[in-house]
Amino acid sequence: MNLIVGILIPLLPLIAAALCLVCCWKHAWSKASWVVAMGGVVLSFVVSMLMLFGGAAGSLSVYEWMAVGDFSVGVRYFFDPLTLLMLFVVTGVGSLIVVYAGGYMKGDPGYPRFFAAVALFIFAMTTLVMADSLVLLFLGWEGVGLCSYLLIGHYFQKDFAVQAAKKAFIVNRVGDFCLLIGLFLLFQEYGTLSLHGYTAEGGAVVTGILEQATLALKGTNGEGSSAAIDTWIPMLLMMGAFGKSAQFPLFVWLPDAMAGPTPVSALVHAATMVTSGVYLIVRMLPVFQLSPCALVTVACVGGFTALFAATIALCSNDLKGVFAYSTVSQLGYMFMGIGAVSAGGAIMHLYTHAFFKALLFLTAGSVMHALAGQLDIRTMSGLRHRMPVTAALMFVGCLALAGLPVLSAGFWSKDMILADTMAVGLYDWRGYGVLYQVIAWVGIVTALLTAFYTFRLWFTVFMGEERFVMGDEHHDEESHDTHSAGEVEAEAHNSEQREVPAHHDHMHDAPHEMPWWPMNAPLVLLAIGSTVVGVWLFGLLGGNEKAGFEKMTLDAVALVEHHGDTGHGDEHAPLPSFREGPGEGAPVASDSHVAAPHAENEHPPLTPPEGRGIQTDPHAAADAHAGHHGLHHATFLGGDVHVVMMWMSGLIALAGIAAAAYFHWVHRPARDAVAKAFAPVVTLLRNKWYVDEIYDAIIVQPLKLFGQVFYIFDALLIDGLVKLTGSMPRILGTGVKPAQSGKMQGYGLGMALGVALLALIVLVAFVKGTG
Amino acid sequence: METLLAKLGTLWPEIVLLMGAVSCLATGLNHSPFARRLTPAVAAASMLVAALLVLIIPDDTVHPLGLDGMGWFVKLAVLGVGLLLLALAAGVPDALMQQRRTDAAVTFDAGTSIKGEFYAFFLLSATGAMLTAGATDLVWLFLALELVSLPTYVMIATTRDTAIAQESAIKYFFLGAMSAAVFLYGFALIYGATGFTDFENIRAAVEADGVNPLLIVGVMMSVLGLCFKVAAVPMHVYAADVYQGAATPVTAFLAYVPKVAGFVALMLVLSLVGWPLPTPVLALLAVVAVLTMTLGNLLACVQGNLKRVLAYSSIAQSGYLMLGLIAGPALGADVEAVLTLFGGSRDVSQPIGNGLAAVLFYLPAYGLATIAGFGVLGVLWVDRGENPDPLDDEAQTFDSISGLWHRHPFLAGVLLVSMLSLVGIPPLAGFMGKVLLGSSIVSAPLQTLSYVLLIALVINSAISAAYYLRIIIVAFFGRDAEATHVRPTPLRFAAAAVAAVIAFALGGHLATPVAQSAHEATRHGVVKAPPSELPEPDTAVADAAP
Repeated sequence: MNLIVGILIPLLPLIAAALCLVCCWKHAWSKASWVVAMGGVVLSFVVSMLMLFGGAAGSLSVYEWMAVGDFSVGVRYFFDPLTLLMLFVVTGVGSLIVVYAGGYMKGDPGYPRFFAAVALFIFAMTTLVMADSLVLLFLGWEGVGLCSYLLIGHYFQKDFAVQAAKKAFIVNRVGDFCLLIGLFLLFQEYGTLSLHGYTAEGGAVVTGILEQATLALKGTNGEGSSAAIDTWIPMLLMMGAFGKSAQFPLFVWLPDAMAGPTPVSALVHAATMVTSGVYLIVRMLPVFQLSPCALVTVACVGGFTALFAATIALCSNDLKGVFAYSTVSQLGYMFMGIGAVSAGGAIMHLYTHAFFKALLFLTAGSVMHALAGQLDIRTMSGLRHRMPVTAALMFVGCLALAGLPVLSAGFWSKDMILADTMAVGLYDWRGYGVLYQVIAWVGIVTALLTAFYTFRLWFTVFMGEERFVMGDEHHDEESHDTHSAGEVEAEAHNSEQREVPAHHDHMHDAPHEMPWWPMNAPLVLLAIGSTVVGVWLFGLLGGNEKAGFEKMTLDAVALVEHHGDTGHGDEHAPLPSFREGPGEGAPVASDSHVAAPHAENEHPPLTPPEGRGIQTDPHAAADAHAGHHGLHHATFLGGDVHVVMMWMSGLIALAGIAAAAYFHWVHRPARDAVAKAFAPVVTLLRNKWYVDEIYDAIIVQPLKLFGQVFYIFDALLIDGLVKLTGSMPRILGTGVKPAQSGKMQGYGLGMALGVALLALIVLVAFVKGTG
Repeated sequence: METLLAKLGTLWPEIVLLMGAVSCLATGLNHSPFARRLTPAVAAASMLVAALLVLIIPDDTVHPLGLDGMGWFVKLAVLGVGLLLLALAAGVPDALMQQRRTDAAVTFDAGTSIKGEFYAFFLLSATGAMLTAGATDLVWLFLALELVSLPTYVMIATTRDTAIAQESAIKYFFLGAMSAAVFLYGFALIYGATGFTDFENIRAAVEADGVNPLLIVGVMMSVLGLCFKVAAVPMHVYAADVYQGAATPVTAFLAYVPKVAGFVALMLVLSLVGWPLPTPVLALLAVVAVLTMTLGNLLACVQGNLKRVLAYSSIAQSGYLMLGLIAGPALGADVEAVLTLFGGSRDVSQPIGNGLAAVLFYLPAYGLATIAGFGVLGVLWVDRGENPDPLDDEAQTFDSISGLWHRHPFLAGVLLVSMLSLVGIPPLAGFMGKVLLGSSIVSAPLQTLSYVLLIALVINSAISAAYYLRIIIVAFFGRDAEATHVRPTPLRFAAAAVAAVIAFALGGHLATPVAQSAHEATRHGVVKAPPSELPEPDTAVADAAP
């Protein structure tokens, strides 16, 4: 497989974006923009798949912009299983969503503008995941931020959409600023911003950041470096990741971002862009491992955010709001997974989450579409008869989010994260055992909440007696942000009614099912990916422990985990066989011994220092390969930790679903009784823990005050100075200009005086210098 | 005699230009209207041939000051950018009332035609700039510099139908003469101090006897005088008036060619004492640089006339360029630190850290952006109706480009590129130039002063954004100026557009090769001693000396 083909992956969407902009020129062309964007993204997907199955690997230098010695800035892509898997998610899920959006956005006045931004987004996102240089990655990072801003503000005539777009942009600024400083420090520390080594045009060989960090990590024997900068770098990168991936304390923008059209919420704010923080940390794992405390911080923040956001989702009455907070919560899970050095779990959850959350958002969009922009779930009930397909599809998505044992994709990925976190905790890794155990328990509690709120929503909307209120300008007062989102979407629908007579009866008639093409068909594919089939596909795509990106991350992880006295991988969890890849029937235990020498051969240049070097320890490498990271042999509650956790999270999910069924379907009055009993808690949660208000009080208001002070300062002092400077020439002019002819002599005099003055200065310098 | 012949052999490009100038006189004053129309083509052809000769003739002469390839680089820079300037200026004489009358007259009167002179002077001035680059003697340098300036006085005076043009030509002439006196005095002192006028012997004398105070005063006077050519403080006062008074294409010429000649001359004069510069010269240049950029930027902020804004901008850019002169070829120990910062061991084959290379790179980068800017102004004209303004029909005010984007998006785009390159926004040429200048000044062995100058550069770039962006804002978001129209001069527009495109390329793909060849041209510049062997550093740097 020639790597040069990889250029097409970002290039095709970029061309599509440009063509979509051309489509803005004439109204008649605007319809074509959907086809153009779809073509660009789908072709990009096809190329990605060609590369994936062609086994593309290595780096590809496309363009060298600036080369100074060993330092060079240019476009250099890198392909490895992780990148290819991310490309699958970005372009694959992206394609489906673009197809869906063609139906959803029909009749919108900004139709071509929308698709231009979406195609541009795919361009930026593919650049981000393919970049080998952090400069390029940052470019993609800012690019997706820009597209997110443009897409949230798609309905820019509406004040709240503009507010939400600005909020997203500004909150991300905080994270990006930290990321940028992190990059500066990286450059200072490693002397390069390239992730992997390469040979520069001049023939100089550059060692990449990851190789250097890996080597340094081996030098510290997997314990992490005690140098302050090695902790500062991951901490700063982490803040960048938290901003982009909406983690505490920078999560506030994501719920508001739902002001954008629903396909955008699905694509940008659920499936792809918000996971780029997860990608960044997984990519930079050795750098994070180098710090003794960075990963545990990631895990703590992830765990806290997961729980925190889940509690808000519990009481939200807004259809998209529930899913928005659920996204924040699931991203928390992913960070929890990375924090527990379970990059495999994090990426697998990223992958399954992309499917089921996109599915959930798009089905939610369908419901909204059918109800003319209604978002308040309290007004909905028993819609299953009206929208059977949507109900079924959303059911599949909800099962995946709740983590229905065995059959859903979400179960496997979430379980992997939880079990690995618990295993790391039991192993007492780097002395943070208790912390990791607490985080794992928080994860389990969150799983219960997740199952409950997910099915609370589904049972409320689709079960019970049929009841609905069509959306219009009249809304409840409570959920301020989202009710206006409904307004906007309703507006979009109104315009649609004007232009598309087929949809004429939205406003006053009953809701109806969405058409199969282009709306429901892609959802079916997403639904399939949300089931256990998705997990199988994951193994096929690169989740394979022997060939794919999991092996890659396991290799990285193996560097840290020196093995204790536990036996080698013969008692690890009975992972489902499809995780070994297709046709891999052999028990995992046996191939762990096969993997050991293999792992040794993997890194010939990285000769570890003497002592307990990990790569030279066949047991450690073997365990790392066989199990998840060789830490999970501990017993937990009388069984293998992975088995126990699998049972526990399965039961928890079922319990949550059952509870939701009782309260929101079987016996709805009980719900009100409970809500009444916990009224203050409910109020607190409905107001999202007052985080927005707190931020307003401690950050926004003081900043505004500062702004005002500076404005006064500016108006009085700076403007005064500027005006003074402005009038200076005139004052001078009037002083020096008795007649027109006097001017030149004045100039001559000025020049002579200047020469004299400078000569004087120099003379003084000279005299001081010699004497 | 033999050396003279050898010398002449390297001057073929200049000789071709001179021949072109004479041919322009012949065609421009010809009876046949066809031949007269051909004049700009003759000028262009001679420049093309000269450029080809520069490329073909191997320049294997050893420069007495080590700037072996500088002549080659500067000649190409003058000829290449000069072709764009010619495209911009073609047609200027045809628009004049006097020339129109001459052309319309039944019997041709050669005495009233100014077409020949214009193109001939254009070529002569360019020849002067090229000769400056090849100078190996103070006398030659002086003559070459005068050859640059004298034709421009005529070009300013004759190419606009307003009194301001004559006024500014007179101003330029007298003030230029005064500055020539200053640097000629400097040259005389250098001669007095060393007893020689040719660079090789001066250099030998300096190496033998060291730098004496008389030589330093001579160099300082030369620097101050040459400040006029580059429009630097304290010799900058003329710039705004003259730039405003000249026809816009001529202004573009004034902003580039004399400046190139001036900087080349400064490079040569400073090479006589070598880097690191003696403290008084260093102090002078540092003060001049900071004052020039600050004053230029501050005054540009408060101008209402676009040509004046660009004039002050050109002053400020000279200030930036001075930093490269201060840094010199800068092969000091600090280069190593910077190169390490940029991820490598010390590697003198890279342009980073070479201030002279930065100057050579920045000159065309600045020239292209300026040409694009003035080109856009030159393409526009303003219909002032029945009540003709003394400023005639030139687009000079902010109002005249207001809302340009709505009617002429391409012109507005060119203007945008031009202004962004002048601010120094990546990936344009101005950015690369500032990177080179900044890194050279940081890597110069000047301790604290390096950082002071770098900070001055950065702050001034920020200030300059204010007025450059103001131009963009007016052009893109202003109300559509009804009275502004586009002249039917496709060539002029093409010149501006090509300049903008090259500004892109020079910041992108061409950046590395051009910077590299600028570096090759100057890397053997005169460096007195490695800093470790320096005598006790003097005042300006005493506090941070090891």
